[in-house]
Amino acid sequence: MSRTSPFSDRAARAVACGIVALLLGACTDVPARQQLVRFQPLPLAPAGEIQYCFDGSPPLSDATPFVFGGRDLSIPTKPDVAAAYKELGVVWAGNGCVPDANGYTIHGPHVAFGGLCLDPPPPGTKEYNDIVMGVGVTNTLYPQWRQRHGQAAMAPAILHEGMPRMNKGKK
Amino acid sequence: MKFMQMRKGSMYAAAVGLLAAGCAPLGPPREAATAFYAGDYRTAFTLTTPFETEFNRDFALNNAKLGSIYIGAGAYGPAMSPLRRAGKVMERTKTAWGNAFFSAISREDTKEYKGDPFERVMCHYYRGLLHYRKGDYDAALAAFRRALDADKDTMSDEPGAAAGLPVVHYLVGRCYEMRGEHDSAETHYNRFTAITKAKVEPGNVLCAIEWGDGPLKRRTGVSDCMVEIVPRSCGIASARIVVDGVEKARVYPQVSLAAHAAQHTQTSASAIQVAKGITKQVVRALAFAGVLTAVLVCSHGQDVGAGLAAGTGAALVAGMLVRAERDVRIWDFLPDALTVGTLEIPAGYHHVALCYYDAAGNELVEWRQVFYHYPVDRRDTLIYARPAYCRFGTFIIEGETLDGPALLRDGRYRVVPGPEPDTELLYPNPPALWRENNVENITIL
Repeated sequence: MSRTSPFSDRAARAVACGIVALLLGACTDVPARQQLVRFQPLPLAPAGEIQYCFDGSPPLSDATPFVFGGRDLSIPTKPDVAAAYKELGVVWAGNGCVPDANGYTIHGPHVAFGGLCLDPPPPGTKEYNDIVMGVGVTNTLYPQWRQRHGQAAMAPAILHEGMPRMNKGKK
Repeated sequence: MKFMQMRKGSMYAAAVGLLAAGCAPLGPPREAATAFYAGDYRTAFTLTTPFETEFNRDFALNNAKLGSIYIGAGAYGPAMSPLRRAGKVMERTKTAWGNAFFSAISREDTKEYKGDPFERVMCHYYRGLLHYRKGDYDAALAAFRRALDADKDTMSDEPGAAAGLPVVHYLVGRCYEMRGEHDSAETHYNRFTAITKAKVEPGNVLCAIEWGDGPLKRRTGVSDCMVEIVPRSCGIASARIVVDGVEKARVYPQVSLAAHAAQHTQTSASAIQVAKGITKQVVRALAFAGVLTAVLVCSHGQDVGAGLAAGTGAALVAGMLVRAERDVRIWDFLPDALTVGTLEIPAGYHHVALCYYDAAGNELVEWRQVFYHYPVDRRDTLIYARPAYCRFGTFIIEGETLDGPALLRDGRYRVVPGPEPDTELLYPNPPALWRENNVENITIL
């Protein structure tokens, strides 16, 4: 009379189950966890005040030119401001840049986003919204200008382009 | 001897050059289209610009697409040049004899792309809008009039078929109005009203609104000798124009480009194309049979097996040379729905928003366009809008906020890998390309 060991029988069953499980596992894809992406649109009216101004946007009174660390991104009308921009390689329409290009040229995006184009973005674009509301705006020009001219070079006369010159009329 | 070697070398170099030229891409990679549909215009611009001046058979198509990218990005200044270049080629009636010959006996897309009539219309339509935006009403009028003329030769004779895009009639009328020619303006406004049944209201703000994705083309029939227009849709049924939080107008599509394009396929030009396809099939069969017979006759029955094999091979080659596939190249960056109208808005800065709705009246927030501090002129202002997917807002994934284009840039459609492993992100209301990217619209030779 032959006797079979209950241990070996159990082991054989376990091995068989393991193989079946492995095979099933290999044939079935693990379902990926899925997350729904929600989109939060901009509100119909902006939450805050305007942060930067440029030609065509609502004006900011007493704004300093961007190159001097301010919030005015208008095309320079004064020679000293224009010279400061030109010194840093900034271009605008009529000064080495295709007009109305919204930063889509070889000069890269608008200076507010780290490019070299000062031409104002047209209304109805994301760039217009973002600059006016100050979203993603980084001033990379001012540190460069300061590095070149030092702290002492910041004459108060040119800090406030929109204001009357402080030494005006003085002799 | 040395001369012979040099000659051989230059011949090899020429052969390699020719092969390389044959394999050179004709247009921007697929990633450019992905970026365009995702609203990532800078990537689309970077990938498409190198083909702006590449003189190949897709020159006009590449330039038209670049024009769309510029307009989508708001780069209205540089948009004019590629559209002008595309328009020039599209209107050319002459085709190089080599291209004409190969397209006659082989695939139709071996000749240069000139677009369908509706694509020509849209090229001039955009040029007109760009001129109008600058206040150059004379140039705008000229462009819009060319848009009206661009498809009049292929118009269907069926009653009710639109005589030109009604939106273009409206814009022609508006240009005349701005020039002070009110009688001519009235004529075109009446034409617009007759087609769309919409009223023409006075106003200082002209709104040109587009949405959806333009149609694609698909080959059908025996040996792909016919083509059908495949409409695409992003689910938008209407739009609402909101100014300073107050609804100003509810707009519905006045033109569907897919419907307009499909209407123009049932014309004499299409019938000619079908006849051409059938003729090509006959020529193909004749070429096959003729070459097989010729080889068999030449073998003089000495070795029937070898003759038959050689004949079959040669006949197959001859038959393959004659092909009937239709041209399915299309300016797929166009929108589907177009609508125009005027609003009366006081001069000054206003917050303008365009909200888009599905057929059930639910807002599709992914397409909302918001223009803060929009300057409005007392006399005339153009508001042009074509919604870009998720451009004005932010994505939110379980509390995490990510920048839109950064997520979409990898070019995967429908499902995008999530920030965590084994996670897939599902995007709501994706652009048509995401859902219907299985439609073959790009010809690979």
